[in-house]
Amino acid sequence: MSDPLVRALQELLGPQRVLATRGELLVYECDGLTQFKSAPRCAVLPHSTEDVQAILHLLHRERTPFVARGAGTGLSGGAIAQRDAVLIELSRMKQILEIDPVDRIARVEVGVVNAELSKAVKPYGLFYAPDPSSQTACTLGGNAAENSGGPHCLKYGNTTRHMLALEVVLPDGTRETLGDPFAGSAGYDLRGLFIGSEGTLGIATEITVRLCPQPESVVTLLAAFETLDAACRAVSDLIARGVQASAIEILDQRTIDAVESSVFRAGYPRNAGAVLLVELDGPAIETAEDAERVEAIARANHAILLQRAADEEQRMKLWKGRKGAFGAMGRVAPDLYVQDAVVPRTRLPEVVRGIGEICDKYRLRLANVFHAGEGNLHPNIAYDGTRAEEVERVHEAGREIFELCISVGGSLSGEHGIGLEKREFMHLLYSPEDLATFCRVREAFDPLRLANPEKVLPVHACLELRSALPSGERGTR
Amino acid sequence: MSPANRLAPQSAEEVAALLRDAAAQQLPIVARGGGTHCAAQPAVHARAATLELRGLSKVLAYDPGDLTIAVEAGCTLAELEHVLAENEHELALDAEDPERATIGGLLAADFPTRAGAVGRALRDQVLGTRVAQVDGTLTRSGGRVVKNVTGYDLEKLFVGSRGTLAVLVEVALRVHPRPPARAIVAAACASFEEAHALVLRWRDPQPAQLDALDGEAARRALGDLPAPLADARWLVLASWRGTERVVAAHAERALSAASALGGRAQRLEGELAHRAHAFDRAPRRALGVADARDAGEPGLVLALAGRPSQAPKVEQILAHALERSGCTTSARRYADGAGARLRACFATAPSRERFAALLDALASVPLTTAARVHLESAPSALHEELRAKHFLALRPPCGGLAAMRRVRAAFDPHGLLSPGAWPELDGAEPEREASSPSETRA
Ligand SMILES: Cc1cc2nc3c(=O)[nH]c(=O)nc-3n(C[C@H](O)[C@H](O)[C@H](O)COP(=O)(O)OP(=O)(O)OC[C@H]3O[C@@H](n4cnc5c(N)ncnc54)[C@H](O)[C@@H]3O)c2cc1C
Repeated sequence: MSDPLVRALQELLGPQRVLATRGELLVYECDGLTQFKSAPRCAVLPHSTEDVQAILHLLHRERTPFVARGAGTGLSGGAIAQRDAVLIELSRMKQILEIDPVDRIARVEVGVVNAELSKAVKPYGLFYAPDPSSQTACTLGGNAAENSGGPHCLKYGNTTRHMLALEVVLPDGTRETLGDPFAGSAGYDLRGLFIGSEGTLGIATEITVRLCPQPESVVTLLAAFETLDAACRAVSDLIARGVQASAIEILDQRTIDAVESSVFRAGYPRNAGAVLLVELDGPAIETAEDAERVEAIARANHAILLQRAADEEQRMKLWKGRKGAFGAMGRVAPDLYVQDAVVPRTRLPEVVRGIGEICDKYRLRLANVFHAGEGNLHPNIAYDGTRAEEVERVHEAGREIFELCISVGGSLSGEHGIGLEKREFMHLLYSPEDLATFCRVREAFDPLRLANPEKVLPVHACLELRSALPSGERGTR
Repeated sequence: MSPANRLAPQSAEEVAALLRDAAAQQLPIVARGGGTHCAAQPAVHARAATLELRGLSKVLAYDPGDLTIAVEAGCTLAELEHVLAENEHELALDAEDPERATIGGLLAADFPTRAGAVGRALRDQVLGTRVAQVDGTLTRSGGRVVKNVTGYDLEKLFVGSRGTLAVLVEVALRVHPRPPARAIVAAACASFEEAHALVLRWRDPQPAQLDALDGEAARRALGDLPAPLADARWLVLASWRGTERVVAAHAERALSAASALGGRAQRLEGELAHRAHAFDRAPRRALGVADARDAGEPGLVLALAGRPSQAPKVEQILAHALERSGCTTSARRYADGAGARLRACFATAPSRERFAALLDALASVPLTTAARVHLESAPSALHEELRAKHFLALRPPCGGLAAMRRVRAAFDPHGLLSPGAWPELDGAEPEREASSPSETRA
């Protein structure tokens, strides 16, 4: 091993916790977004906050960039490290440090897998609310970095509402506690800034989360519609009428097909153009009232089938299809491109129609499965990554979809983050001055731009945006 | 621009232009909404110009079907409530004086709200912001959709920044359907421990209000209480909102939970319910603590915030400190929610000496109970004491001070915006004039 940096890291952590051979680094070439691939200079496996501090001290001294990685399930290329960067894998830091059922908090290391936490607190009648569909694999550190969502974030809110304090190591190796679970505000909410910053401000090592009481009752409803359009209209109505569901999800016909032909079979009607999955939770008397309202709205929008899960088993089955939808679609095509734009819920029907037209125009196979209640779309485009011409069409369609969503007042990402994938589109939403502000904030934490340097902000944003845009990139709005 | 200038811009662009001019002359600028924020305020810088934002009061986009609204920052809460009432909508924002409090001021001050106390934190209500920066640029972050992770969450930074980073000119907020009915229940408890146990029981299902008041506070807020509640040492109040059927069921359940714990409880109706609701809307007023507006001098409210499980211990510490310092509260109040808050309210502020003794006693609060002392409001006569004892300070265990300073410098390198609002975050200590009580800001 001739790389002196690798040797220095090995001295710091011991040889087993530094991976540097091609074979060892293969798994780190990409995350859940497979379009981009690049192996890091090496990967290190810290076991503690002190380890992370020591690593960042060293890297800071050596002016070496680094990229944090949890489980690598991210869908925007956030955990990919370019060749000169060190990848810091945090999945070994997976201890649950404290559970307090009275104060309803837990303190965890960042490598704890999302679903493991809910499992651990279940005996106390509590759960951790944000539930990304990847929850059996993704880490809470990754959730913090992406401000992840999930079906039930409609009612409970994204990750930022549930993480009360963070222990972080800044790019120069200093350690800070951001936020305080109980003490109220004191100064700027750096906790809130750090959450969703996609590993560009430092590395989180410990998190204090809020735990929620398990609801007394849960009602899960399935409504099937002849068309996707009708399902979208039902969602717009549910929101406008103030129905407070905990989750409102849509799966379209292609997704239903994929799910029903897979191990995730949920019993969705194959003849439907779309199904709507609505969940209500809370006191039984409340969910019973709301369920009737949901059914009435579905009927008014010409639902062709209405079904209430009779027991926990049926409920789990209905969700199995939704949570397994990505996996099921993985079978249909060699590659899958998942978008994540958000639009006002009043515009859902027209935007979903528009996305269908864009994909038709580019002769692409589109399937929709999304957090409809929040207007958070996930158009899934199936393609074959070995065919350059097809990849190009996917790219073009992707850009048009973003433009459509932004034209109705939407946004680029609801939960997957910008990462590598969407940074070239940031200009569609933000002015050069907006982006320059983001850059200044980033520099307040990381003046040398060592933390996940290639992500979130357009490549030259920080250097040149104030004067002029680099050629080839988009102008201002 | 003369120092005494009160500037009254009518648009975001005018705000930006005024900031640019002021910055060119190195003049400090203090943004002001309705002037309702009565927390301990630092003295306003001698040369500071005041930027009055009431002129920015347009509703920019209200999308009832999407449950979102975008407004200019100078809109008052009452103006917005009026617009939203049309569709039976509301905000999870509240203020004692909604006719004066502006949206921008409420967010910049991040004063504890009643919505925040029951799980709807102010900072989570903001979907996007447009701000005027000190160099006169106007920038946005976030958007108008209810879910968004595009770019850094600068909205979180601006909430609670007390105008030290940039001037909020537009804000997009979540809107909530207004439940049609409310039920309020009250229980008499013989001790704080008993009240605390009941508060923990009544946390589920999530109430819209959950408060415990000591006997004196209860009498001030509610007047004469009916027999079963009359001799309460502590009175626990909770309300639920929803449809008539749902809230009636919640109230029933709350009553049986209370009696299982040995408390005497009843649902409040008529005039009593009305007063309990008025207390919820404006607790300081109901408890007889003066607003800055009333006498020109705000009353004194200290809050100890910490873990709910530790509240009985914290209550003992407070009682002890009060006794040792010879300070007498007019009301004590305990609220659970985003952390527990035990408040000591003084209709008449104690003398400087006693107040100093109280602060000393509280400064020795062991950190193991993880309680932090907040000053929610104080008359100007006590400001000196507070400053001397660093009570305006961001004290440990507050983390990230160095990073906060760098963030401040990233937005406002010369410390021209609201200098003194967070003294620890200012660069060079600016010269001050004596504190002027009427210059509180929202
Ligand atoms: C099948 C599937 C379904 C999904 N469903 C959802 C969903 O419903 N909702 C949703 O929001 N997402 C979803 N995702 C995306 C992904 O699971 C989330 O973004 C998740 O939070 C990533 O966690 P991770 O541990 O895999 O992070 P990684 O992918 O390893 O990293 C993600 C980003 O976080 C940074 N990072 C990781 N750990 C830290 C840390 N400790 N400190 C600082 N930065 C860090 C990385 O540098 C990177 O930028 C899904 C993904 C898949 C594959």
